[in-house]
Amino acid sequence: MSTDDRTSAISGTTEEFVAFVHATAPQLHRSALLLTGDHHLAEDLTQATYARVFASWRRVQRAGNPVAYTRTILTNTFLSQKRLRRSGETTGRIADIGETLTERAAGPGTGAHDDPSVRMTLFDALAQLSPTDRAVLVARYWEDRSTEQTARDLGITETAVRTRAKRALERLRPLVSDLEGIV
Amino acid sequence: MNDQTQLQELMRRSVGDAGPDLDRLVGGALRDGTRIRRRRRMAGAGAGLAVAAVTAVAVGVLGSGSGPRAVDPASETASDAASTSPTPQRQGYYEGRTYDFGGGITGTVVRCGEGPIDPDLGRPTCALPSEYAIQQRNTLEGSGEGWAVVLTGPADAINDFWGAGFDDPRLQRGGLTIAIRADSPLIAPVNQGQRVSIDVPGWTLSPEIVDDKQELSGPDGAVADIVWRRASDYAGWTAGDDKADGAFVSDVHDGVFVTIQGGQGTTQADLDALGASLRWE
Repeated sequence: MSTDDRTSAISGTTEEFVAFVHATAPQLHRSALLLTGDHHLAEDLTQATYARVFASWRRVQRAGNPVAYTRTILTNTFLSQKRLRRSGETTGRIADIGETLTERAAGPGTGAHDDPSVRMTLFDALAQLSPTDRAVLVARYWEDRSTEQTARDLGITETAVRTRAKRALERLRPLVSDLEGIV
Repeated sequence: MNDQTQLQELMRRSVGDAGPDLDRLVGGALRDGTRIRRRRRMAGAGAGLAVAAVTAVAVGVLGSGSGPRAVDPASETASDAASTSPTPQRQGYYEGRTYDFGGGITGTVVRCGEGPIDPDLGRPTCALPSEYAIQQRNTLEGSGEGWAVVLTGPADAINDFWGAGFDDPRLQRGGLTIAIRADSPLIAPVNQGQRVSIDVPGWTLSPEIVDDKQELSGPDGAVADIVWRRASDYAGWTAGDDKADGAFVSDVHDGVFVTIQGGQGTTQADLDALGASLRWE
């Protein structure tokens, strides 16, 4: 292969990657937003994910399902960052979120769909869960991944996925109920 | 409407049409991805055939369509050939066995002690001496039970390897625990004892730093965060794009800087006042 051919091939590969990012980034960013609960962190996570995908782009393309691969990288990157930072299982701030939400539901502004302060409340509720439980909920109910796929991505058993999803939903139930009345 | 449907609907409403700045995202991903490639090439240049064997195995795993995580291999074959141990013909995990994962990363096998019973699995967890920090445990049953692989090497390389889900069959065996050294800079918190204070009437700063964040509480339930960041990230926050929009960014101080980011009930004026009052102690 000549230098020109090689340059052309590299350029073509980069163009394919850019097209892939444009096609998939909005949805991936929303997953990142649900995982992190923070727009800045979601952008960082999304960028770190695509950087890793680009670093192995040819291999990823050969794997045949770059979207699934990228989602998995996103989840792994999120969990590794949480572990690397020695994060606690909860943020601690929102222990009284149920009470806060109930008060807000009863107060003025109920139903203010576009109020950013209200939109933050689901993120706060999700932040009460462990990172792994959050990843399970996002994979199962936002990305519609199967129990089997979720278990494989997270390195846990299918039983553990079901148990974690059930337990996380139970923890969220009072919050979800209140949120439903607000959002 | 059941919990799952409610949650799905709430997720949909909460994220709305949020989306990233695609041009900035692409630019950043290409830049960082190229850096990762370059690092791999440099690290791989001296690694020889062992790395080639690892790569071949990794490609095989990806090519099978199973994604970056593989299931527990039924047998140990080609993947074990990349061991750097003096007795490569010996199969399976054993105390002191080492693996070369490329990128300067070495894994050393250690035997687990018996930890508390995992309530979900009904099996003992892996207990390791305090010099090791457990970072991941595979909860499938398999040949990795009772064993841990401790990773050492360049922090960035381990971080990348981690983000890719430890994409290597030798780390995907059921029951295997993966750890790093407890003194690794990877798990050191950003804050190394630095302290800041704020002085805005009605606002208080929590003394605890959790997950590199300190909570700010203001009037009428307003909340914000002080986020501790490494000086190496400073350029990205002051590059002039919109990354820092709405956030206060401090100067670098003793290898770190902080951003102040608003939460519910916080206005831009609040952030400006908090930033203006910030003092390093």
